[in-house]
Amino acid sequence: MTNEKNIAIEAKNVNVYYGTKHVLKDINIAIEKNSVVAFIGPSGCGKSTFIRCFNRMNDFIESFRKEGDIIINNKEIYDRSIQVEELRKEVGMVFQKPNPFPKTIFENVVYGLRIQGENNKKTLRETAEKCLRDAALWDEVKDDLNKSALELSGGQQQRLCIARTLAVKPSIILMDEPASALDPISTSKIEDLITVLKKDYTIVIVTHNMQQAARVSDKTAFFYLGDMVEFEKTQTLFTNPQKELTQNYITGRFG
Amino acid sequence: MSNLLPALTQLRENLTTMMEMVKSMFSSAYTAVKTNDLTIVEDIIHKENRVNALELLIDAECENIIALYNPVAVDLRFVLSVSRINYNLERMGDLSVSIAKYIKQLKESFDPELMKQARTDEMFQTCLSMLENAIDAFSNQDTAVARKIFYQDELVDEINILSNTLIAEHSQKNPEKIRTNLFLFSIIKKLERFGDMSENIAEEIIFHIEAQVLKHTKPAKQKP
Repeated sequence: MTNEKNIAIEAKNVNVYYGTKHVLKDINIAIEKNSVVAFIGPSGCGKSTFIRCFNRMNDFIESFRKEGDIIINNKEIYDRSIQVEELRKEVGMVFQKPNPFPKTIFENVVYGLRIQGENNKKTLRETAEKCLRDAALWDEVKDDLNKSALELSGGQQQRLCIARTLAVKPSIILMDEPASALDPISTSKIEDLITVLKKDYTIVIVTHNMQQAARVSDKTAFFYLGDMVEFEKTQTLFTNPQKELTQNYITGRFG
Repeated sequence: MSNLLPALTQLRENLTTMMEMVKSMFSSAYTAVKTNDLTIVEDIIHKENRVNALELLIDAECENIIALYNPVAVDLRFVLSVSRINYNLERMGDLSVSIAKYIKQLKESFDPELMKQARTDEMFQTCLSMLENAIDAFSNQDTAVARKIFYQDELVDEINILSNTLIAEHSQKNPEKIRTNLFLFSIIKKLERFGDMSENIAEEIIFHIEAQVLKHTKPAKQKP
């Protein structure tokens, strides 16, 4: 299995079932490197299930079954030869609710490196600074690295989680509603950060906030009842969607 | 989102009212040219105030809808097109007022033979029909009717060019009529602008419905 040169994630004829429930139906998508792709759609449409397939977060669900191929770095990621821990180094994830560990800010950022056996203080310090800078948090926390991460605001905690994700050097970052629990200023910081990060990473974001999808993404995929109805340049999808179903959803005429 | 649809419906109703008012003003201006009836002129000037007030109301509604509801896709195109149609309609109302004011300043009637040769009647009727088609196209979401306006504008342009020579020649032969002829010449120029603005409205209706931008694309307009 190989990806096209400029493709970070490719899904081919992906079907997902939870028991007998068919939750993703024959999805085909190619996500370009260094792009931001947004998944939108009503609750239960399958968008979160799909994004969680990219780093095998659904493995823990007993009734989960997948057909078809998801190819990252020229490998089908559900292949037996794939080690999930290695996959998750390559494909990081940021969740809806910030989930810092009850440790210091510094230890949160370097946690992944320590797990990998990295104990060199200089390396850890340099990595922490770089990742906090990349996550646009350094200026706010540089004098408080030994404070508990739990003392940070929600927006700062979310950026800390992004810094923690960056520390293990992924090439892909998945974001599942990363700003839905944040105030508008923190949301704006996360959105600015996404735009900056795409220079070095491929980002897939699930969001219910359609204006957010419109603001940050290059391409948007609209999901409905397990189908990927439309996958288009974001500008096109929000100005002139080709499918009536998409138009009805984004204009609020749904259901 | 749930309040967006009523807001869009209200916007549509207000723009339709504005279209009908401008049509009424223009139709009255046409009658005034034919009859020199100065009471009609006063009526047109009075209606202009109402059109101006409607223009401001529609502007505010467009601004509110964008600010409050973040419309996208067909809804966004609708609001943008209404905003631009609104601007054109207000100008078309102004043109009708200008024509009416010329009639007020006239000391004598236009030469009937010159008007006939210059096809002024046909030009007025075509302009009126263009606006009626615009109203029809907007109300019924009918881009085929909107496209008729492009062809009608060609006729208006043709009559405009023809009238230049005719009025110039008539004025040379009848120098005592120059002042009156200049009013006729000015009215014809206003009609030509009126046709252009009807065409702008047709472009906006097509933009709203088909998401096609036809501005400055003469050949593309000919395609159905």
